[in-house]
Order: sequence, then structure tokens, then C-alpha cells
Amino acid sequence: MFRRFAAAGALAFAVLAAAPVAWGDGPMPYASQGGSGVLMPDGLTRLVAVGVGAAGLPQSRTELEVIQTQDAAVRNWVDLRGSWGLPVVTYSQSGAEGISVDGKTVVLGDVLRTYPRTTSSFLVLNAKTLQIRRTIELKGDFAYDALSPDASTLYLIQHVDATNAQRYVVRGYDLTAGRLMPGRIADRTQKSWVMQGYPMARARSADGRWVYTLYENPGGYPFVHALDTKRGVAHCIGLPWKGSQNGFYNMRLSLRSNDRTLAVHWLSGRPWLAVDTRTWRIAQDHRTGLPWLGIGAGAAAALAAAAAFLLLRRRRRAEELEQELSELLRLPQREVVV
Amino acid sequence: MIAKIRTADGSVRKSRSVSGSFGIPVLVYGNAGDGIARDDTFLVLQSTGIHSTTALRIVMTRDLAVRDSITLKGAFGYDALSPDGTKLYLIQHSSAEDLEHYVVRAYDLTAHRLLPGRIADKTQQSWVMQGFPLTRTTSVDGRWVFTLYQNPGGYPFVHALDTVRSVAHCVGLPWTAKDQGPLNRLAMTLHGKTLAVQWQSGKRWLNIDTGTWKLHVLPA
Repeated sequence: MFRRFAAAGALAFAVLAAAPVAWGDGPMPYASQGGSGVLMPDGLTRLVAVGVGAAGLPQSRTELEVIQTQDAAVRNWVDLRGSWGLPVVTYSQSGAEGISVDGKTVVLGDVLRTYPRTTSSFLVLNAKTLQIRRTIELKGDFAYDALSPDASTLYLIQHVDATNAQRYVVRGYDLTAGRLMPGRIADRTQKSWVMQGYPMARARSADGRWVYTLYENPGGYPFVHALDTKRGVAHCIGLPWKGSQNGFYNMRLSLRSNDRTLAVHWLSGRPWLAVDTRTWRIAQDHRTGLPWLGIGAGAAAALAAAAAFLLLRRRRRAEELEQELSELLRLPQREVVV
Repeated sequence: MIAKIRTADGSVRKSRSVSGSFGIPVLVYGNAGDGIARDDTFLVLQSTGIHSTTALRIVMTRDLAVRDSITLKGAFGYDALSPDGTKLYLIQHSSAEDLEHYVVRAYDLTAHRLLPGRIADKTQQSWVMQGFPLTRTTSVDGRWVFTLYQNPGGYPFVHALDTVRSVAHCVGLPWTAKDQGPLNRLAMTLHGKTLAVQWQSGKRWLNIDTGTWKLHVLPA
């Protein structure tokens, strides 16, 4: 079901700062500066990392700003040594990640300059005070993947093939103990599953525990990687797609039915698949794409109501005429007086 | 570092590093910043803190590039801009230690020079400029800038600056109590030629005729 794909030839490398990465065939996680940053869970403020330094040169410092969404006022900021950004995991998402569900912890990643990195760095900060809690340095090429709801575990994507940016394993980092946990976070029920592909879309359960990521997988089947950030286990769900996956950047994930159904659908809302998040079974999603279902039903109901009203009025008028006529007929003939 | 942030959602649209320590000028404590040209093409950044030398940067709003760098000997602070953006009005403090006493100066942004003399009320030459700005309002065309000053030890006053003709008028206000703290609750609004000085509750205290500078205290 899942075929290995080995990229031929070397990858081209460039200096990257804030732009989304077009890397080989697809994008890969990166750390972003500027733009929308990450919205805090309360929706009142957002965190934005801004590079400080001469234009066009590698930024030697970073300003992490807390900006009010209501009026764009900068409420707080911190000047950080080094070039840091907020993690962006998927191609299609609007905005970065890195904030814990409780809004207390934020993770920054070092801005990628070369691939693969020989060392990867992360900063863990208190999202309220902007004080650095921990600096993480790891040998190898790592990128942010997710945070557990209590921010005790940081999940990372470790790229394992210098010539193939698609190949990766998911690792856990214990933020309390300050160490990379041994082994990889893999689907134990499908041990032969090889993690490779480009993350395209993502959805998260309401409690922040489950993180679902849709991967485009050139040369194989696309799949959804379901990560239980609380227990540190994962499931991979292969999706029945044949042919080019170039259009997958238009694919989205969303949860419904109290997070029991993961819908894989197009950006337009057109449904494709529904994944049962308890059994991991997939089925064709027969729901009509919203909002046309609602609009159509509303319009039909309005038309039906209008028709019923007209019919009723017509019938009532006919009844009134009939009654009027019968009353007239009941009246005695009148004489015409001249 | 200066950043252009979208007010709709707080996202950073553009940013640029400016070497040195600069900030957006704020005239009245707790109020929003000032220093943007009327046509939005540029803004003025001012060096932070009060020092014996003041640095200013004229930054283009489109790309946040620094158009001009101004360095002045003395403790200066931003006051206003003329509507066409050619004149920058500055408050020059008598020293970095004495922020209460000041004169208003004009800087020609086209000729790149500080204009000689002070912008003062020619009709009241003995008026000593001292105090702290409490509130401000500007005429619709951007020409007149009215600033209400608290003046401990003297009368509070409204400083009316004509940013086109570079002249000023000072209108003393009849506040006799020693404590000028309540004046923090004053606001000013312009209604045609009448400048209304009112309490934040909306109750008017007095009106100033901006044609004659006559003051009319309203009954309590």
C-alpha cells in the first residue's frame, strides 16, 4: 500500500528566512518570521517573531512581539539573540504553530539556512512573560511538529536522509527532563510504515491531544498521520488516491461529530473521505459540501413557504368569492326603482 | 526595529531594523503615538530617553526605509508636523534635567535645517512655556494643533500652534486651585471656530473662540 520513494539527485539549497519553502517536490516545516505569527488560544493576542538586522543579511537577533489582535498594539516584546521563528508545519495552514493549548508555552525554531542542518535549535519560552525556559540543541535536522496539551512533550520531525527531505521520523522531546526521548513515535500496528511525504494540511482535536496531519506522498499513497500527543503514539491512515498528488495543496482536514470524524475535503468544501477517529476506518464522505447544503435547503424552504402562502391565499380568496356569491344568491330579488 | 502591523488582525506586514534606540513619539502620556505625516507617506521616529543630543529619523511608511537622519544638539521632542509635511515642530527642553521649561522650534524638512528662533505667541512675549501636555486636538485640515498644558505653580493653558504659518497663541485657563490633578480629566473638541474644553463626562467647562482667542466660561 505504501511504496518507498527515494528522491534521485541532490537537492538545491538556498538561504531561507521567512518565506515558505519550496523544497524539491514540496514544502517542509520551517520557522517563520513576520506575518501573522501564531494566535494565542484566547484570540486576543498573537505572537510574531521579527528578524532584526540589515535587510538581505542573516538576522542576528529576533524580536518576539505580543500584538493585540483588536488594535494591533504591541503589548510586550523580547529581544532574542539569534534568528528564530515560529514553526509552520503545513503548506496550507494560515499562520504558525508552537503555542501550547493552555497558552502558557511557546516554542521557537531556528530559521533554516541550509539543509540538512548539522544541529537544530529550539527555544522554549513562557508565553506570558516571554522569559526563556529552555534552550534545546540537537544534533541533526529537526523541525517542530507538535506540543502535548500540558507542554511537557515536544514532538519533532527528524529528517533522516540528507538527499531526501521527504524522509523523516517523529521524535519526542521531554521538556521537563530536557532530553530527546529514545526511539521514534511510530504506528505500532504498521511497523513497516515508512514516514515520508510533505505535510499539507492539519487539524487538531478540541482538547489539543490529537494532531492530524495530511501528507502528500509522491510515489506512494497520501496518508493522514494521527499523533496522540498525550500518549506519544501515532497511527497512519493511507488514503485511496491514484495519480498525481499535485492538487493536494488544496486539500483540508477538519473534525466534526465531537472529533469522532475527521473529514478530508477540498478547500471548496467538497467532501472526499471521512475517517472514524476511533476505528481509523475510512469511508467516502457523502455529506454535501457546505455551505451549499444549507443555502440550498434554505432556498428550497423559502420557495416552498412562498408557494404555500400563495396557494393558501388563492384558496381563501376563492372561498370568499364562493361565499359572497352564495350570499348574493340567497338575497331576495330587488326591484329596480327609478 | 520598526514594524508595520495590520490593525485588522495584528499581523506584521513589514519590518525593518533601524540602528539605534528609537520610538514613536507620544505627546500625551497614555495616548496613542504621533508623528505620522498627514498624507501617510512618512513618519518621524525619535531617539528614546532625554539626552544632550537628540536623533530623529524620517521613515517612509511604504517600505520603512529611513529617508532622513537628523541629529540635533539639545533635548528635543516631537511636537507636530505641518499638513504638507515640510515642517517638523519640536519641543526643545531647556535642559535634559528640566523637562518642564521648553520652547517650540521648527525644523525645515526640505532644507534640512533647524529654523532660527522659537515659535512663540508674539502678542504675549513674556509668556513662559512650561508645563506638561494633558490632551490634544487637531483641526480637520491638520493646520491647527491645540494642546492643553498642566502648569504647576501657574495657570494651565492651551497652546494653539498654526503649523502652516509657524505662529502660536497661548490661552491661559482660569483654574485657581493649587491642585491641577483634576485637569487630567479634560478633553478638547473643535466645533467650527470654537474649541470646547470639556470634562471627560461630556460636561463643558469653557469655550475658546479660535478667531479672537476670547474665552467663555460656561455656567457650572
